[in-house]
Amino acid sequence: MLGKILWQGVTSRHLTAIWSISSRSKHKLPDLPYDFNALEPYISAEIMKIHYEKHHATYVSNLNVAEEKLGEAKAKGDISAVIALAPALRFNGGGHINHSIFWQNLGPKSGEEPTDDLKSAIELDFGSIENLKIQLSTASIAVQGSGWGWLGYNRQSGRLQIAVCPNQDPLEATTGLVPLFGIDVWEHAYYLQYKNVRPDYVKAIWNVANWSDIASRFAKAKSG
Amino acid sequence: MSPVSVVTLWLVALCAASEQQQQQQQQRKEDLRAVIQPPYYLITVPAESYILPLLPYDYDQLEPQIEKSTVRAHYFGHHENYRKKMNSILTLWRLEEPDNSFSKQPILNIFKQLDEVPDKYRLRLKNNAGGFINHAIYWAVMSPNPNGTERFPSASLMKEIEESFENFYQFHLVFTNEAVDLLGSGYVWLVRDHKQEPGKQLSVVITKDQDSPITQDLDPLLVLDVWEHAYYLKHQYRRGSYVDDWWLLVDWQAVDELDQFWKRIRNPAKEEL
Repeated sequence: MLGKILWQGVTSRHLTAIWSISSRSKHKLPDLPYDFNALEPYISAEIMKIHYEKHHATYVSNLNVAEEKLGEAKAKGDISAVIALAPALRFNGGGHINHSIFWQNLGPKSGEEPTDDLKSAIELDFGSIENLKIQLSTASIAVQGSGWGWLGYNRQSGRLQIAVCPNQDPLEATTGLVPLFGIDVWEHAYYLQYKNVRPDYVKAIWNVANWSDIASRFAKAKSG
Repeated sequence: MSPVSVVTLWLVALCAASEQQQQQQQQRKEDLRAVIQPPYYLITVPAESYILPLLPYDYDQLEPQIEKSTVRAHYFGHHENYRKKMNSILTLWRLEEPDNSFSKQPILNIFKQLDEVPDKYRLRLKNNAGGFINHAIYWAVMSPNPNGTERFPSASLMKEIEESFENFYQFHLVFTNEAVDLLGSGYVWLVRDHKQEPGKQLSVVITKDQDSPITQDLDPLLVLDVWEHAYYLKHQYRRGSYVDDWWLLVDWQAVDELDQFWKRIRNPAKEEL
């Protein structure tokens, strides 16, 4: 988006938008809890750097632009314009939400496995941790095009559930499930390292799943 | 002889030599395309199991615009995967319904009538046959351009483009913007809608994932794959620079051939016996 603005030539309209964004400090890239190389060899530093600094950053900046336009459209009472912004909000807002969860979901390989409440819930709903891994992996690998595989918490049933979402559709807004662990299967998440072999990437990512983060999301979802 | 005339003669000789070399290269390219069918040809042929179509160029010949590692991963990884899955779905279907002659028709016919495919196979066949066919067309409308010369449509296609888009630049801009703005995975197409009146048949459309305008009864003339796998190794997040590179590879003669291909299918010439 920013590249496109520069390419078309910065107009006063763009300058106003940029000034408004900076003066109202909207969404920002969250801090990454570890260095780019922390997830090696499962996810390369090169991928982490581009994924965070370019892809996630672009969702953030485009979300800010979309929200700015939303404000303008609402101020003018332009319902049509509000509706027309929905895809951009969903895509970039979802992208920001999803990736913010993703960086927390991952961490340097710790060898930890789920314990206590989360372990019991997984065994109840999937039979075993191994089975959860198989089911979520299968679902993630099978995503057509770009999207995410999710382990989610169903507040109505109090059960764990697997879901997939296309593009950057956010899990909770789309399905009502509370996101616990997401696997980004957009090609940008793995291509530089795994090329077309998505199954290898999905298998590898389990090594860097941050179970304490997943457990704390589970605890929060259950109590909330 | 004066030094100036020696240099002039030398320059003239050099130009003649490079022109001859260019003609030879053009001839070689034409020979290859004359000898092998375009990659999409095999979709009109019935088969127990479809092969990967031959590319009309070597894996490194789309350089510098698309490098060898991307061509190989794209062709042997992605295109091949769609082929394998499409074939296994066809096999399962045919085993289950051995008397269903529709299931044995060329994949293009099946693809154009997906409603006739059993529910349990339809979505997977749509995705994988779509992937198989879309990539065949993608490869077909590109050709090597190592010197990066700007290429333009043939006179008749240019005229049609000008009728639908004001001018070539506008078409180029619309197509490029659609490619850069497409959210997620998909394709950008120049299609002909045979149901419209002449002069109003061309338009730019987008499809997501492996969806195809063929299922909408539109004839694709040009396609750009904007799935990340098409450009990530070289360009990473910079889809725009991939699109700029791709324009240099578009082979407008191949586009015309593809146009004729659909026309022949819609109006098969009656054979005089």
